[in-house]
Amino acid sequence: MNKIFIEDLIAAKNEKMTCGSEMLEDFISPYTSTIVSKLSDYEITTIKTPKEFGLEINPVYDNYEGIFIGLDTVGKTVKNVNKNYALKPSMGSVSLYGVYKGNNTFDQVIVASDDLVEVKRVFEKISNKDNLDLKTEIYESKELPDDIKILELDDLDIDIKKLKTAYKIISAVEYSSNTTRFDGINYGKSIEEHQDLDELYSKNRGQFIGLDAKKVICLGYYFLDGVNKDQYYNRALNYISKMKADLNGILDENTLVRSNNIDKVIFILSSILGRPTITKKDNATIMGPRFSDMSMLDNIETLEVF
Amino acid sequence: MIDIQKLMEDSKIYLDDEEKDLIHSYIRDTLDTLVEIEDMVIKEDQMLYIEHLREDEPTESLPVEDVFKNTNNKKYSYFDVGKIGGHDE
Repeated sequence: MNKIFIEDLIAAKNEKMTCGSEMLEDFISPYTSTIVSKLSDYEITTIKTPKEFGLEINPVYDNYEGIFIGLDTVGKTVKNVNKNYALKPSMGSVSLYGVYKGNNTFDQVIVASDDLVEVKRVFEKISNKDNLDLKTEIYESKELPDDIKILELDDLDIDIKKLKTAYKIISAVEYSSNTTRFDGINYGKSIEEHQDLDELYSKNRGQFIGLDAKKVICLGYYFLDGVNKDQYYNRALNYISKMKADLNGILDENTLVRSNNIDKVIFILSSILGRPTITKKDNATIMGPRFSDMSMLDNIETLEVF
Repeated sequence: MIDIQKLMEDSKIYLDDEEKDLIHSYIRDTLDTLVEIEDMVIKEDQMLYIEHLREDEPTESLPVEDVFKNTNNKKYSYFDVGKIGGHDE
């Protein structure tokens, strides 16, 4: 039986689900995610994620001998888990029911392995519509055409600085919003001494949330504070929407985008556009049309992009 | 201006003085790396909806015991997802 290591941001009933945080170090998942439920013929091992609530700051992973399924935001997990092949599936192809996401817009599960056949097999099992995740769709695989067009990431007419700015703002806001639930009452550890509810929330979160997470949470609140919301957050949302419309006009069903390394930008774009990426270790990352995941995996060795 | 005291209250995270300084520096440094994104107009109905949500904001802290009564677990609580649907029914 093949082994799969899953980060404990993905729920498996009666297993610890710490989300990398001291706040949830005793939390046991009461239910099973769709991903885990579909992989019942694998030996699944839950590993403690190095990313507190999905915060992706150069996470450090052991060398797992098997398949890895975890959460990726902008390619740092793909890079640091250090497998020969890593697939970030099309948005909506894999159910995220039971997966904790720090960023709704940018987070997606990845399947990584040294064995390409295993990546295909796992993706085939976990992809399809799930009634427990309304964002999923029936997976109808799109075939890559013979006359595939390949664009280099650098050739795309995008303002990288603005894109990174929009990413920074939206990700911080979503992270701060998503972590609100960890207050020691709904979820998480709770201290005994408190005067009132505000003090209880404040002390619980102050004591059990790590410094890096606190930084991003406070940054998110800054971007939402009063006029800053219009100044930063709404502008970032508007910019992303406009960019999505523009790029979807340029990148048709016959186009792959390639970057020479694990570039943050290609991962931000893939999340915004809902497109899949495949990374080949020490080589390149390609982004294909939506729902071409399986076709890209089938053709990865023959595509002249690696 | 970065009002770290207000951010601490809004986020409901207690910060000691050292953390306040570190977070203040982090926000300031992050803002320095951002570039200007074009202005936009917020739709009027969006603003009305936001104002509507703000009307329900509580003005004072609720009694802790009342809040705990509404949860399933006193210590490490969660809303019991298994009872309302999932893979384990």
